[in-house]
Amino acid sequence: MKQPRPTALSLLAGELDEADVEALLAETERASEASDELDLVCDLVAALEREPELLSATTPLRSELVELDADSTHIELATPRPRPLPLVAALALAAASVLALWLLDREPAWPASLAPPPWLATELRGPDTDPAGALARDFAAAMAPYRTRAWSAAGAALDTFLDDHPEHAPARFYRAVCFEHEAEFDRASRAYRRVADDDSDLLGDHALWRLAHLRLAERDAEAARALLNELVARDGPFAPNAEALLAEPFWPR
Amino acid sequence: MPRWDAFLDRYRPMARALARSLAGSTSDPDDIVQEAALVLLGAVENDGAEFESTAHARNFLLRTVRNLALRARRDGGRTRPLEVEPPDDDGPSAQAVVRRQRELGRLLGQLEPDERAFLARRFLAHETLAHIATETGTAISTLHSRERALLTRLRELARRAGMDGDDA
Repeated sequence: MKQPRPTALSLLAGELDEADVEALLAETERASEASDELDLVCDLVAALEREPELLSATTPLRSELVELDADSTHIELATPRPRPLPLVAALALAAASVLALWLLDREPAWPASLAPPPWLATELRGPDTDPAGALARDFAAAMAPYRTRAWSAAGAALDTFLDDHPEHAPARFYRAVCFEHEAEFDRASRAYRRVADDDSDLLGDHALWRLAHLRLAERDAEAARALLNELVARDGPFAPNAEALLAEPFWPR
Repeated sequence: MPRWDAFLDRYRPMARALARSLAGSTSDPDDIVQEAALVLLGAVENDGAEFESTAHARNFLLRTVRNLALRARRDGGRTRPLEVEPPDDDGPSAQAVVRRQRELGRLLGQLEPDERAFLARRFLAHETLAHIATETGTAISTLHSRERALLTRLRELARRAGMDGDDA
C-alpha cells in the first residue's frame, strides 16, 4: 500500500529519515502548495513556542475515542472534557514528565491495551420500507448501549441482532469488542479472528490489529508478532500501524 | 531574502525542532541551528542572487540543519558561535513576522476541540502518527488524511483573514 505523503508536521516528530526529509523539501520546491504548507507549519511552531496555551486549553495529551455524529463517516479523535488545570501547573507537570523520562534508565514500555474503538455512525436515509435503511436503523439501535460503554448490555443487544443477521460483519466486530471489555478474551479472540478471515479490508485489518493487542496484553510476543506480520502482509490500512509497532524497542530479542 | 532577524524568527523554531528530532540527545539543537545559520550566511555572501527566494533560503537552512544533526548523532558535531554580521536587506521586519505568527496562532481557536487536541499532540508533544494510531486504534492513513485536511483548512482560514501574503 502506497504510503501517504507526510506533512511538514512529520519534521517535528522525528518520523522522517534523511531521505524522507529531502523528499519533503524537494516537494516544496516542486509544488507551491507544499511550500505554503511548510511555511504555515514553521509559523505555527514559532507561535506555539511563544504561546503553547493556544493549543493546550482543552488538552491533556491523551485522547479518548467518541462516536461520530450521525452524518459523519470518518474517524475523529475526541478530546477529554476540559480540566481547569492551571497553565503553569500543566506545563510544570509536562516538563517534569519529560525530565523523568530522560533521567530514568528503564526498559522500553510495553504497549498499553487499546481503548474501545468508536462506532462509526452513518446518516440514516430512506423510508422504513428500504431494507438497507431498516437494517442500518436496527444496527444503530443494537449499538445504543455500546455508545455508553455498557458492555454486557451491548453484547446482549448485538447477540440479538446477530441472530437475525449472522453475517453482519460490523456487528460481529463490535461484539468482539464487547467480549474483550467483559474480559472474555478467548471469545473475543475467536470473534476477531473470524472477522479478520471474512473481511479483507479495513474492518478485517482492524480486527487483526485488536487481536494482536490481545496477545500483547498477555505478553505473548511471538503470537503478537505473527499477527502484526500478517497485517503487514495484507498491505491494508493498518499495515503502517503494524510496521511501526514491530519497529518499537519493547520486543524481546 | 528578508531581513536576517525576520528570517530567523520565522524559521529558527522549526529548524530547532528538526535538529532535535534528528540529533536526539547528542547535541544542543540551538548549537546546530546556529552553525547552520552561519553556513547559510556564507552561502548568501557568495551568491546572494540565489537566495532571493525566501523558500530557497528556508530549504537551504533546513537541509543544512538536517546534515549537521545527522553528523552530530554520528560523531558529536562541533558548533561555532555566530560571528558573521548578518546582511542588511529590505523586507518584513522581525516584529511583523512575530505579529503575523501570533495572528496565525489565534486561528487555532477556530478549530474544533478534537482538532486542537490532535494538533497539540503533534505540535507540542511531537508525538508520531504511529504512536497516536496505536493509542487510538486509528489507521495511520486516516490520521495522515486528517492532518493534511487540517493544515489545508488552516491555510484557508489564514487566506480569508488576509494572512496569506508572503515575503518570498
